[in-house]
Amino acid sequence: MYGHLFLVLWVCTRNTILLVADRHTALPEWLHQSAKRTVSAIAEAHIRHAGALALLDQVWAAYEHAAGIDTGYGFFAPAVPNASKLVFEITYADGHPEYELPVVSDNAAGLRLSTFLYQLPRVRYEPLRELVMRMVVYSVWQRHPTAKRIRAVVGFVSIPPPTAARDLHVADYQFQYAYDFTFDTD
Amino acid sequence: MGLQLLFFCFSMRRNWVSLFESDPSQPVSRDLSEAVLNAQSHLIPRLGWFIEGGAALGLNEPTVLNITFALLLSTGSLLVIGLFSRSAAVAGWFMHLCAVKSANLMTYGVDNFTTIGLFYLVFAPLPDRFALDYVRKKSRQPNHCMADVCQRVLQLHICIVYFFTGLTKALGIGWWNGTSLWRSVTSPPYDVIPAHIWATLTPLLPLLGISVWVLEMGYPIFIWLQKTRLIWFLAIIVMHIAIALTMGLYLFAFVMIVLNLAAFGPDVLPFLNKITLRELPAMLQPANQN
Repeated sequence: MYGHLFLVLWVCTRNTILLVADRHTALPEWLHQSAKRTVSAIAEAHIRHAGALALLDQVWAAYEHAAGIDTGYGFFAPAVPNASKLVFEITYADGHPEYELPVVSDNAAGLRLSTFLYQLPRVRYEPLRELVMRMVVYSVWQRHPTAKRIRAVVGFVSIPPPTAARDLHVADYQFQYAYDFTFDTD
Repeated sequence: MGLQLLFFCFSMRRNWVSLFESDPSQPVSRDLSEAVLNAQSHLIPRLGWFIEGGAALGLNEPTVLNITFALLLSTGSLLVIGLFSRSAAVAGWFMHLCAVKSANLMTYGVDNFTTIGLFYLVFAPLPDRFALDYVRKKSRQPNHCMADVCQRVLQLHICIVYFFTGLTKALGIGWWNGTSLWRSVTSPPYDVIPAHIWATLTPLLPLLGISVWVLEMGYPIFIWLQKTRLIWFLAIIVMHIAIALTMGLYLFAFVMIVLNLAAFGPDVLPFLNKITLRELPAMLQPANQN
């Protein structure tokens, strides 16, 4: 019981420190630096004992997931990010492009897709992010096997301020990053 | 929690097989999600285990996935009617966990809180007075000591959750000036109510934003005080209903209300004690020793 609650507390605290270290909060600079040093110290200690505690680490992680306490609870906090948008630019051999959006069957799937798009830029390990994008683009290519190139463009929906919304101004889309993948269709 | 499992199944019914099969035409495959899981631990439950087991028995992937869906649906139904409650709780928790972990790149808060609720349900004493198990074997009484421990842990867990949710909001300037609340309710896919309607409430947004994190951060204090318990409890429930109606997060609101009811419901709403068998019916009261 105490161990379980300690884990809940630890995961929440660690998550909050990470948010501060990543400068997502409005706290002063010295606190950001302190949080950064704390995060480094935790990571260092983790690496130092990684070999000896590998099994314990695996059991610990599995327990956290099994109990639903593997992540913190900072929903929509400290700031609400812009909603992400993914567009595929599909170019064929004759050079003509087509544009496609990810297709979802219902609202529930839409919510899950938006979570995925939200998490994507937060994947810190670049090769993993590229692999994820490669798989996403490959799924599009399955429907367009004659495409020569598919560009996955990730942007965000810039929400207008309340004053603009009152005049019925619509949301604006802004470019974030893109991945290009070429296919040898010969 | 049984209803929550049924709602989860209902929301996934169209995408269940396509979401979890190793199909290259799917944007985010189960293989990828499970590979990411492996980076954390090989012991985290996943649907891949069922699929490997099924393959050893000669069952193909869609068949195994359909069986797991049917089992999850059955465990939810059994929990709702309270039949074979303990087995259904364990099976429901495990299969729901496997499903959400195999789609871990697309999970959000509701999955986390459903896992939390089901995890506690595995240990919580069952059944309650409306359960078929209670009718089936009336003589067996729930373990009241265990019930108290489970309730206390859940209470503290919920307090920690609300405190940190409120704290992280309070650390961002957007929750002080109303910007974050504005963005929460107007960003797709949460823009259930058109932005121009929200815009008419502009002067109220900072107050509403501050109220949200004050309510959440204050929860671990005011829910324990006799005088403020009921008001804080009702305010949190109203907040979750508002989230459901204004942002379309119905499942999330439902599971949060269930967890609040399970944690503090019996203290705030005493009639719940009769349902959960905390107060034994007269016929089951221990005999007077005098």
